[in-house]
Amino acid sequence: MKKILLTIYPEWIKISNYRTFWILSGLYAATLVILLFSLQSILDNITVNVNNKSPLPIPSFPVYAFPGVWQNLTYIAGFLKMFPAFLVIILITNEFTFRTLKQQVITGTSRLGFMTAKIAMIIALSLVVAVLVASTGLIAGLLQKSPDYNLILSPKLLFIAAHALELLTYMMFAAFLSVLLKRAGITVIVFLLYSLILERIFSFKLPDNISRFLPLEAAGNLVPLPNSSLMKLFGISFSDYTSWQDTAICFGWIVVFTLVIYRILLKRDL
Amino acid sequence: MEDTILEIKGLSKNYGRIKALSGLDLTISRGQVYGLLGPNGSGKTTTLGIILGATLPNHGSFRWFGQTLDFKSLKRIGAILEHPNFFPYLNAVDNLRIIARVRCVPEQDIERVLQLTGLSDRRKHRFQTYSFGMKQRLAIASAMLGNTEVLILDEPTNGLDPGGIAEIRGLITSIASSGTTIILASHLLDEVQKVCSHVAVLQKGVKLFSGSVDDVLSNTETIVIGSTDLSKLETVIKEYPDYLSHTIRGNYAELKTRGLCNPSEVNQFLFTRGISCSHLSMNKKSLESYFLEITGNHPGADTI
Repeated sequence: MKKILLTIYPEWIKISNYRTFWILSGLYAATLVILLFSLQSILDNITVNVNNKSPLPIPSFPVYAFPGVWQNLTYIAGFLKMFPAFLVIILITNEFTFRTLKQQVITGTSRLGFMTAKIAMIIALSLVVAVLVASTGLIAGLLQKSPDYNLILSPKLLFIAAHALELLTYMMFAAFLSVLLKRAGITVIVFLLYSLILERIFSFKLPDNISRFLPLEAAGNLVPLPNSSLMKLFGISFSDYTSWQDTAICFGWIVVFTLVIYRILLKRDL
Repeated sequence: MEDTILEIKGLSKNYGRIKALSGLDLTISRGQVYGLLGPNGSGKTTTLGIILGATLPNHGSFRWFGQTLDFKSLKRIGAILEHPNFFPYLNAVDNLRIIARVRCVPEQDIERVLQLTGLSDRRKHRFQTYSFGMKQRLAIASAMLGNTEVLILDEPTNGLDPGGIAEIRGLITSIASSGTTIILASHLLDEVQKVCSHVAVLQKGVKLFSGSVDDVLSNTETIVIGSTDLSKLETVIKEYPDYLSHTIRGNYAELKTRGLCNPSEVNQFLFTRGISCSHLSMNKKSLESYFLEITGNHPGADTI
């Protein structure tokens, strides 16, 4: 434990005084919390509008009721998962643009040590976001009229962990691209091209049982679309748990990204 | 304690089709101030990058303290490579904290190296606000964290004003006098001559010469002889015991001897062979012209 803390300490010095990082993560955290807290009113608005035209009354959907809140909020939080990936791109490409990786290596940091520190930072980031989403869910849930305290600790709390894994997979993909491409601008563009266009084309062209192995799709599948009351009305039911297959695929990709990053660092001149 | 600090054998590095370094051999012993001298692009920075583990060689090997390189031996070596590389948004102390952590050096040592390099006043200012000279001094400060046994400096006075240059050279000399081994890459002869005890001359990735700076200096002396019968003089001086080579320049013969020149001995020798000199003078070439001579005329050849 002490060793891990000592490895992270330089990372903490780099981050704690880095204004860009705090501005971006502040914006991200604020957007996330505002989005999650305004979810109910947005959905209510939609339900009212639809009900005006619908022959059947559509019941309103209690977003923050325990234990459904865990799945609802982590699903919506997934829309913002690009933000932490951008933070990772900035923090890693900085080491190449400032040539500080080279400086640290000639000072005696092993390439393995450098990678471990960066991965530790990524894990810490995903845990912080998971805690933020969980606390938002808890507060929003407790603020409801007569919350059912017995349902707070439910198996659905695992969605918080699933969301952390989702972020972790995204950030490890971003870390891999950063180490490969070294420049922030080009890494962001390639990341956006791949995640918004290329992987969706692959996913569209490939059969479902193969496309689920794509890294970002697997991460997206970890928290499935929650069953709203509207869907129940139509008899559609989505999964309300995280499948172990998707979890395994994500962990598989994290291992692959880690190994590739290490290999690039070992085989390339700094 | 080992006496050989660094041993390089047959080191080569290609960047695509460009040969940056071919078959470099070098041995550096404890306490030496070793200059790597050569024009820009001669392979100095490549050599330093390789021995510090940042650049991967194509062929050859090197040993630090008798062992292959690992991050433990790197902790005994302080180095600056090319430009000072630090986080622009961090101040001097925070930048050095990162280095101190990597080296397992207590943070108290930061104050010492800041004092030594004269940066104490600006310790809380961000790196990006520093002048180039201050950035360079911070790089030297970071290389000295934790009393390193070896200091590697790549063009340490590059881009500094005369005051800064004098300051850095003074710093290097005082560090060297404390027994620290120093490897200094430079394209400035004058710098190597002033600071170093040993020198290796590189050109286009090939080592032209290596030895002590005094040896180089002795090689820069010639004796200029004038005589009425130049052709007789030419045949006679070849018999001079310490004769090495000679060139004819106008009405004068320029003689190069083994070891240091001794004009009176030469004069006596010529007199006994029946030549009276109309002119006799010692010519001390600057290291500069010697350097141009060996890098220009004998690529790939050892002149000594």
